[in-house]
Amino acid sequence: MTQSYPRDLDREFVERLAKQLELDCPGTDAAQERSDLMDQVSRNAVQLAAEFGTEPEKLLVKAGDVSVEVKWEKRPAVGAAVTEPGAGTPPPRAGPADSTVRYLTAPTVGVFYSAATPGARPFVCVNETVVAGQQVGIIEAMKLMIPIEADKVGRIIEVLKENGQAVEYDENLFVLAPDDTA
Amino acid sequence: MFGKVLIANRGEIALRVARACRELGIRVVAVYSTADRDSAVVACADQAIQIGPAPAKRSYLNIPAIIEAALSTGADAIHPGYGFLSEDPDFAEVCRDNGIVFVGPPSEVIARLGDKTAARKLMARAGLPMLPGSLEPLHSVEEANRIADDIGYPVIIKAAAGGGGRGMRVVAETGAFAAAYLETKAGAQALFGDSRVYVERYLPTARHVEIQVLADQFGNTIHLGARDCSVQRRHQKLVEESPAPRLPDGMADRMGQAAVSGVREAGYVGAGTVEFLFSPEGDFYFMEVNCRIQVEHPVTEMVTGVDLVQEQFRIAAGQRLALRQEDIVLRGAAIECRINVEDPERDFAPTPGLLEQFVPAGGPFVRVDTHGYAGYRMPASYDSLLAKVVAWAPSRPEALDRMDRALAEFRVRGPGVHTTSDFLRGVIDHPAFRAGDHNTALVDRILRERPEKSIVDKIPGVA
Repeated sequence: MTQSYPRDLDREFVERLAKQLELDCPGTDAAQERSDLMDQVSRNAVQLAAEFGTEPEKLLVKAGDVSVEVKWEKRPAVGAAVTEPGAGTPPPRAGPADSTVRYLTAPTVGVFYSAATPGARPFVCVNETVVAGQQVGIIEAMKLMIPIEADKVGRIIEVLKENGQAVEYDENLFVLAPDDTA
Repeated sequence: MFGKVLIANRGEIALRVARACRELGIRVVAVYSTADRDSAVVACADQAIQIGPAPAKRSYLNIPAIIEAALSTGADAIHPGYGFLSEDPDFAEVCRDNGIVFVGPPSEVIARLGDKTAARKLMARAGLPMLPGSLEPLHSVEEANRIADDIGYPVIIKAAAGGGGRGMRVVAETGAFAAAYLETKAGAQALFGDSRVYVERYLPTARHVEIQVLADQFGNTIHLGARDCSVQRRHQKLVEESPAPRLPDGMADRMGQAAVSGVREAGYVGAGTVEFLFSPEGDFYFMEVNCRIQVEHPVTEMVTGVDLVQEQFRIAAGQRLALRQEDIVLRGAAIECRINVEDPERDFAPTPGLLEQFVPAGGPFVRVDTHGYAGYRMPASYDSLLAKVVAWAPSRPEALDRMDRALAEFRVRGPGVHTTSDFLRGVIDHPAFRAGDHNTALVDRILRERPEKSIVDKIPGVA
């Protein structure tokens, strides 16, 4: 399924996000709930962004003193597939027919973290383009935090592991498409 | 002697303690986290109690769960091993309050010696030589910086609640002091929940020499010679040996006597270690007291023939030391290498995981303390120590040859798993180490020498 991008998509996105926030995250001032709220807000934002299949340049969402930034890419995409909810395979993307996806894998057995601290913005989100050496996550092993870095330039299509999930050595963590649109 | 002992630890030390129990006819209760269900000590214990999930805070540091396990199994005593709760005065006190013997020094002694500034004052009173430094925790950056300037650089800033090589920073000159001071304080707060720090002179080329002591409840205190633990990376020991090589005549005895007077002053009971720095000028200085059995205790056992963990149990059970100082005679030389699952090629990044192949070293005069086995999954939740290989020989050069042979035999393979074994072979083969005139800067030197060599290889015309 392919769709073009209506100009007012950003507004639609924000409206849907706001609606979902209202449903899922009743605002609270309790300090200990802020990071949970932030987490949930981020997840929702990322999920929605993925569902739209658009490439956001930047989006700031505020709920009380909690805020989320989603970055949208500047250039207009020629077309993108919408992620099928619950589909197990990475969504096909626009691009040359011979372009193949790559995976970033776990350098060691450990626990995967998508963000530097609980509640912080993830190192990378779906649809972001990463460059070689850019940190995309953390593996905690034996009390040490080991950074996971992109090996070359590419666009994140999917994050395969949840924040805090145990991973095996060499297990796939991120699906990347080559940055063929640049 | 005790009928049943609970071991509040994991890994190789839990197995080491269980072995001592077996030999003394003591029944063993193991406690374990969900990550350690398949561990070696669980398999060999008479009883095993699951005390919590993988994070140590909720299992091996969970005092109520451990006490409950001891009470419900009817254990007479708890052996804490090293790390975890081994030097926690609150834990020792809770044991006592519940009628369980804590195998270690009394709670008050642990508290006194665990506060590194209090320990320094105590040891200074006992006449032990001290490096120039502060005897009180520091109160302000300005005061600390002034004291550091008076001491002379380089200095080292240490956490009062620290120890074991954690929570310290070396400062080379006064301009860098303030930032390092604040960082060390913040780190100390995060690591130990106590931001107090002190400062002392740093000796970049000193040796780490420590004395093993045993003290019973009747005031009998002996020492069991010196260990050299100068081979360290980021203040973590990699290789240890006994006796300490190339000490001047009589020096080990002088240090031993100093250690004995120090722990006597502290009212110490049990097995303990007094750590010293030995300077290139031939002076020694008190560093800290460790109120636990140490990782490197086997080298002392190999040269003295004394089972230190059994002695811990005898002392805790209220027996008098059967050994007198004159009974302690060091014979030959013993060396220990710590095999960690780490990748020396990637800055010693940990590499836990499945050990598909595991063939430990063997043969004459080689001892391997390990919880590993083929098919064991080294959990990512704990430290990277997989095995301690210990070799004994009548002389140091022979012990080093034997160690090299043993390390070459040791085979560990698994997906993504690396060990420090080959790196350690490089260390014990290094001319400075073979000569025994190395110091705590040796590992950095070896690591510096490695890349330099490859750069030279790449420059045409340079041999």
